[in-house]
Order: sequence, then structure tokens, then C-alpha cells
Amino acid sequence: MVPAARRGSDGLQVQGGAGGVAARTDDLEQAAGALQSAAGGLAEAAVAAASVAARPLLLATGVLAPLTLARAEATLVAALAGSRGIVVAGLRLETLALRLRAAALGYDVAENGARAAVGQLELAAGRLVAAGVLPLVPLAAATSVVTVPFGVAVSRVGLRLPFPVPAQWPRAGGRLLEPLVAALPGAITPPAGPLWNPGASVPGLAGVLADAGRAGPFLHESGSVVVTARPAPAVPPRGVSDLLARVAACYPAAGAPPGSVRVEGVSGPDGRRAWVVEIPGTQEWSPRPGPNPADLTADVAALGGASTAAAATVVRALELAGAGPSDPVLLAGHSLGGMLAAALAADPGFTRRFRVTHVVAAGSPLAGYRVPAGVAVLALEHDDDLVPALDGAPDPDRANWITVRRSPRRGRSPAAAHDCLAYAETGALVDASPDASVRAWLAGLTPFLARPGATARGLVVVGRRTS
Amino acid sequence: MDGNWVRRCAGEVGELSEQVRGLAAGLGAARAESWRSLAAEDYRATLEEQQRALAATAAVLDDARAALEAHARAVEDAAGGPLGALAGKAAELLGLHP
Repeated sequence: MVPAARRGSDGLQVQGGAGGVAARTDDLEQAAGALQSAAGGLAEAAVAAASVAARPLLLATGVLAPLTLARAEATLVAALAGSRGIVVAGLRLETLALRLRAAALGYDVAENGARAAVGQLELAAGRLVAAGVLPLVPLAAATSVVTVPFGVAVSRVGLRLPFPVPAQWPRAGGRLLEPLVAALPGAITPPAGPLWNPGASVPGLAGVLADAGRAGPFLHESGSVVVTARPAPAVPPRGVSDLLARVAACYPAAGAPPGSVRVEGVSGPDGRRAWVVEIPGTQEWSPRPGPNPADLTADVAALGGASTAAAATVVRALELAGAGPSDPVLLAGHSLGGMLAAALAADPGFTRRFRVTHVVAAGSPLAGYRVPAGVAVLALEHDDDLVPALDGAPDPDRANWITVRRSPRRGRSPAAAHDCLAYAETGALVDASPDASVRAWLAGLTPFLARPGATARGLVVVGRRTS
Repeated sequence: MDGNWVRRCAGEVGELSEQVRGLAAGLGAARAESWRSLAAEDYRATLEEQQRALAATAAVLDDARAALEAHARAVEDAAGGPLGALAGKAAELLGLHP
């Protein structure tokens, strides 16, 4: 039995957490067997229908009634090989059985792998990793239940039917090959592609780029920063949506100085303090690094696991706010901000000084960060937002790491899908979600949130990268 | 060469149609109900779609059976005339037997 994801009536898809669900792979195998048995039955039906259509005596009756014979033959051909015909139906069942077997095989890896195997392929997002698809290859070789008998029937009775198998096979086979095709850009990109370097990955490639940046003017991340800070009025956040709205308020477009992060110290009625850090995403897209630490250079460096001036800004912010080593810290970020949050939570040097207990990340690729098991992670992803998939891997599925996905509204642009306030809307659904995993996860946020007797003070810290 | 033989062909196609309907119903055994996840929901939706597709396949086979039955009637009508005798003789010479 392995954990998986589930879809709630609120449109959220939740993976991981305390309320996980399960799959029995022997049931999947049994179901795949039933599918292949049905496909075998269709193969027999295809042979029988082909033999009727090609009977010489039946064809000879055309001398007596050519028009009705032509119609009968046309309908037989359609029943055999038309778009709603036996052969196509058999191929579909074969393909479904194949995918189900792949899901069973892949279930010990991750629910996302299983979903990709039987559901829509999320190719643009690059979620499929080639390793998860390799089990399909020997299975694909075994998918001859329909095609071989049909081919034998065709050759035996000498039929030359306009059946659409040539058109259908590439489509059915293409679905099997699509993941491999999708993996090709990574595979053929020397020197970091997996064919050239089996250990390579998207974060690995980002690391190569970040390393290369050290020798040139582009993407050169110094990792150094100077900061200025000013107090700001604050009240404790009310939930995930409020947290993300506050992250959105750290962007220059919302009036904050470029390179800002915000720290809020929340004191409970018992006097205990907890700290919330709100980290926005990328604000500068030039590959040439500038003073704003939240730029493309930081994106590449953070994806590659390198130190960044933006992360250094967070460190200085907590220092200036007065966070103690035993105070719980929640890092909330959007896009690059979420990556920085995960990177800091995974950084032993940071966690020796600050006790990170929670990470809330919206629209961030997080799979590449080795966040310790003791840190509770909530990752929000929109299906039409490509940014969370930049790491090319699914998030881990574990008890205190929840990935909540939301399907898009129709016609939304990629930019709108990635917008921090759009994630704040999704955060409101999370706050109201009845999902057991989500409720359990949110219960842990109590020290950071508004409650009777709780107060807060804020600090806005502006980082400037230094060379 | 007679209409009854063509009608028997139509009957065979009708049996194929029932066979396909049986296969569609049998797909219910492949629902893997113990599997609960997003992938499972996608899978079961696809499976139901395949059941509907098989029902459509059976309907197309019904059309083929009906077309063959219509052809059988046309053959019977034509077989009674001079062309029928000629065609029967030609089939005999060519060794075409039901």
C-alpha cells in the first residue's frame, strides 16, 4: 500500500499529509489483466469480422446486388477498422492496460508518476522523468494482442482495407513515446543531459549555469548583501491566504521597495514568540545581476542550490528582528521566494541558527531541496503555472509535506496563473478545506496566526546585492 | 448463392455485436475500486469512456448486420431472375460454396 493524492469538492488536489489514501498494486495488476483479456476478445472479434467481410462467396454476391453489397462491406469495414471499430477499441484497451501496469510499477516511486501514466501527460510542465517511463518500453513490446491477430487475419484473407491502423498506431504509440520525446531536450543537452550524465537533472543544469556565471558578467551571484530595515505595523496573519497576500505586498508593484522581505514577530498570550518571514519572487529578469537580489540570477542560483544574496537578505532580516534559535520560524514565499524558503530550510548552516518549522511556498519548484523531515511544508501549485514544474520532478510525498494543486480557470494566461494574489485565492480554499491532511497541517500553524491575546510587530528589510 | 447464406453471415456479425457488448459489461471488473487517488479517478473515467466506446462499436456492428440483412433480401430478389441462374452457375464453376 502506498500513499497517493485525492481531489476534494473544493477543486483542490491534495497530495501527502496525514490523511493520505492508498493503492493496492495487485488490484491494479488484476484490472490490467481484465483489460487485456477484453482486448484479446476484441482481437478475436476483429478476426471474425474480417473473415466475414472477405468471404469470396459474399463478394461474389455483388454480381446480383452490387449496391447493397457495397453498403454491407462499407459498414463491415467501419465496424472493423473505423474510428468506432473493433481494432481501435482494442488498441485503446491495450493502451489503457499498458498504462495501468505502468502505474502499478511506478507506484512505489510516486503518485505523480502513476497519474502521468494513466492520466493526461503533463509534458509542458516537464513533470515526467524518463526513469518513470522506462518500464513502459518492455510493456509496449508486449502490446501485440490486437495487432498481431489482426495482421494475421489481414494477410490470411488478403484484405486490403482502408483501415486506420497506420493513423492510429502512431497516436497510440505516440502517447507511449511522448514522455521520452519530452525528455529529449534534457537528454541531448551536453554535458548535463541524462544520456551524457545519468546523474544530471534540471537543478543540476541550473547549477552548471550558476557555476558558469562566476566566470562572466551574466548570472553571477555574489551571495552578498547589505540591508536596510524599518519597523512596520503588523497584526498576526489569519491563515494561508493572508500569508500569501502579505507576500504579494512585498513586491515593488504593491509599493514595497525592490528587494524587500518582511518579518513579523508573533507573540502569543503566553509570551512565546514565533516568526514569519514573507519572501516575494523574481522582480528583475535581466541575466545581468543588479542590486536587487530577487532577480534571474538568484533564480538560477537557487534552483541550482547555490547561495544567493536574496537568501542572505532573509538571514539578515531574522537577525535584525531578533529571532532566537529556539523560536519557531515560518518561511512563506512565492515563486523564487518559495525556493529560497525551501533552500534555507534545507541549509544546515541556517537551521543551526534559526528553528525553521514551517515552509509555505506558492508557485515554486521545490522537489530539488532536501528539506528535513521535521519541517512541515505546504506547497501550492496551479496546474497551468509552469514555474512549479521547472525542477522536472514531483514533490516528495510524506506525512508533513502537502502539495495542494488547483486546476485552472479556462483561458487564464500563464502570468495570471503564476500571480501571487491568484495563489492567495487558492490559499483561501486551503484555509477552508475539509481535507484531513490540510486540517492537520494547518493546526500546526497556530503559533504563527492570529488568536486571542496574540500580537505582532513587523520589520521590512530591503536587501541590496553587493559584488 | 442465396439470401439465406448471406443472412447467416449477418447473424454471425450480430453475434459479434453481442460479444462486444459482453466485453463492455465485463470491463466493470477492471475498475480497481480499492485504488483511491487522482490517478484512480482519471483511470476510472477513462475506463467508463472505453465502455461507452465499446457500446458504440457494438452499434456499428449492428449497422453491419442490418446492412447484410438488406443485402440478403436484395440477393434473394435478384436470385429469382435470369441473373441469379447465371451467377449460380458461375459460382459453381469457380468452386465457391457456402
